[in-house]
Amino acid sequence: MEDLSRRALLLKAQNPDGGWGYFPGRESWLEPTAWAALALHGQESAERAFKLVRGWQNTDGSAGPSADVDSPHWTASMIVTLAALRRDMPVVKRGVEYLLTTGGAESGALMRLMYFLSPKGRDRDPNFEGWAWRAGAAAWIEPTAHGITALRLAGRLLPGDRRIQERIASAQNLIWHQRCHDGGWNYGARMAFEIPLHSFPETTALALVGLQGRSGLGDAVESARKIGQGHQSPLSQAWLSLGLRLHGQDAPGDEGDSADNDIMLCAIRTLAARDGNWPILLTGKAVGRDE
Amino acid sequence: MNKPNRRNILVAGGAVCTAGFAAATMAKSARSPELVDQRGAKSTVTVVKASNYSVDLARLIREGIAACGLAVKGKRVLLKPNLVEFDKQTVINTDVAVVAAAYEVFSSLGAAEVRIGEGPGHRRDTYAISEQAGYRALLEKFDNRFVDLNRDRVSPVKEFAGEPVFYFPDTALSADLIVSIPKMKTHHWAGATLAMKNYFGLVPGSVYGWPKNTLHMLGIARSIVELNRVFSRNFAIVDGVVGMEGNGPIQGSPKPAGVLVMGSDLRAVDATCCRIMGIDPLRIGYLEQSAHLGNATEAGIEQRGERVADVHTDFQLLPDLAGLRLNS
Repeated sequence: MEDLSRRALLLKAQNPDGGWGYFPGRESWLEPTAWAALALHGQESAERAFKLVRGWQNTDGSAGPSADVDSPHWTASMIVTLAALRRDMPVVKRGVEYLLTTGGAESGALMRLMYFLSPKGRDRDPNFEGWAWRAGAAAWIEPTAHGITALRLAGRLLPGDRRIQERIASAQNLIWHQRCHDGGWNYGARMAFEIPLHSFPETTALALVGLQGRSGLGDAVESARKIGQGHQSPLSQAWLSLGLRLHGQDAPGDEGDSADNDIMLCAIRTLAARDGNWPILLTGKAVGRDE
Repeated sequence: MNKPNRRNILVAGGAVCTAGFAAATMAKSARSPELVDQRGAKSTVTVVKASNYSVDLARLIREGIAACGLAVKGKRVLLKPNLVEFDKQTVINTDVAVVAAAYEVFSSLGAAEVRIGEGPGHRRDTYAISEQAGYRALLEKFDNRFVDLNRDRVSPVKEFAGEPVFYFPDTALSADLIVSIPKMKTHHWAGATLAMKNYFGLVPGSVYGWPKNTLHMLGIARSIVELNRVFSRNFAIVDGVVGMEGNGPIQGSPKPAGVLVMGSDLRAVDATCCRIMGIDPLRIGYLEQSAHLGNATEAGIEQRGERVADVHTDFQLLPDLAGLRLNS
């Protein structure tokens, strides 16, 4: 592979339709496209990407993970995030309504009853509402973190809508409630059959992303640093960098600018780099690139 | 139906913690004679002894393939190991030695193409897991041969467990033969995870997430059966050299069983593995519900190689799974 910087690789790997695949040369998917658009926010390529995924939003605010996969999916929140950064209100409003009216299956009446019948089996509090990977499934840490980010940015544009802040609080409560005994987070389960499960560095980092702005986090940030330190997964390191920076912490390592063949990884590393666009997830404005 | 026990209630009410709402299919129904072995002709299963990963695994696999009469020449083969976690010190993942030996054998038997693919259910960094499990180091030209099935191109398949459309990786859909290479493990939800359940890794995370909770919502057993209906051109090589007992599939303990178990009928292979592990196969939900896919009774299986009785070793079961014990 040519020696390209990450930014250059992203630019080179952008598909003619404006999106990115998970790997260079592959068809566009919403997830890598959204991460790349965040990493390159303020550049023309990011606008082309948004134009593509904007067209993937359905009239009810839902969206599939790619143009060819017709399935309501968590990626609806990523369209809201990108739209909020551009103050594209029709897209924001559609997406916000979708996020506010969908959630994990565990919050439904039947599952609330089942939880009531099996108190020992409770791992979730059904009063806390996050988001699922896919409509009809249970809520998990990663889609919930992205849903919160989307609503936080959209909430700045819709300050009168109290439902947004209430839902953010509920979703953050879900994340906090699902914290593992070792101080981090896995995909969203503290226990299985009353046996504690351990955390993962990547979902611990994503939990930090979702908990941004919440008070009373105690040692959660420091725990995340320890859990992620030296982990073998480059993806977990990239997400850890992002999570730490959103909490005002310096991110260890991973400061090089070598290219990756994995578009999503490359985009998250670019976004989370010291001079990356990560502040847009806090302020809605890119450093030195936004209006 | 069996009377509700604490485990079934836990699964029903609290299962969302890891597996969503698996209640209906986790409950074991009373054995129905008409559900047993509808396939007809006997299925061949070969059991070979392999005391450790340093023995000539390629020779053993070659013998197993020959005994089962599997034709490989000209086929596009996908080897599907079980990669779950980063923990190198335990026995969570299929040992790379078995996968490397399988790669060597299928290549030498004239396969048109041999690829290795996996889509882990919890962890997103498939390449990092495979690297940690030693795959990149031990498998030649790993990057050209390995496919992250979670992020592969996908195509729709009609009708899957009540869903009108379900998406699967093109690498799996286009394979002429999928070789399931799981670890022999107990499983805290399904009872045992073997060749059939290994196909959860054929479901793309890019569509269904991490975990692939949609499968749990549809029912674990039902999903396993449906996956094996969709992907029916199979062979299995179960890594039972060192398996996992107790709180599998992740937090259990190593259990040396010293065997590889092979065959083209995955139901028969799994049933045989269960008997080796001291588990009644027809008390495993997905084996009970898959009579149309293969054989599971001893009468329906033509046993080659070692006799089950000679390699049988009880795998420790969680207390809630004690009812699965063979002859209990």
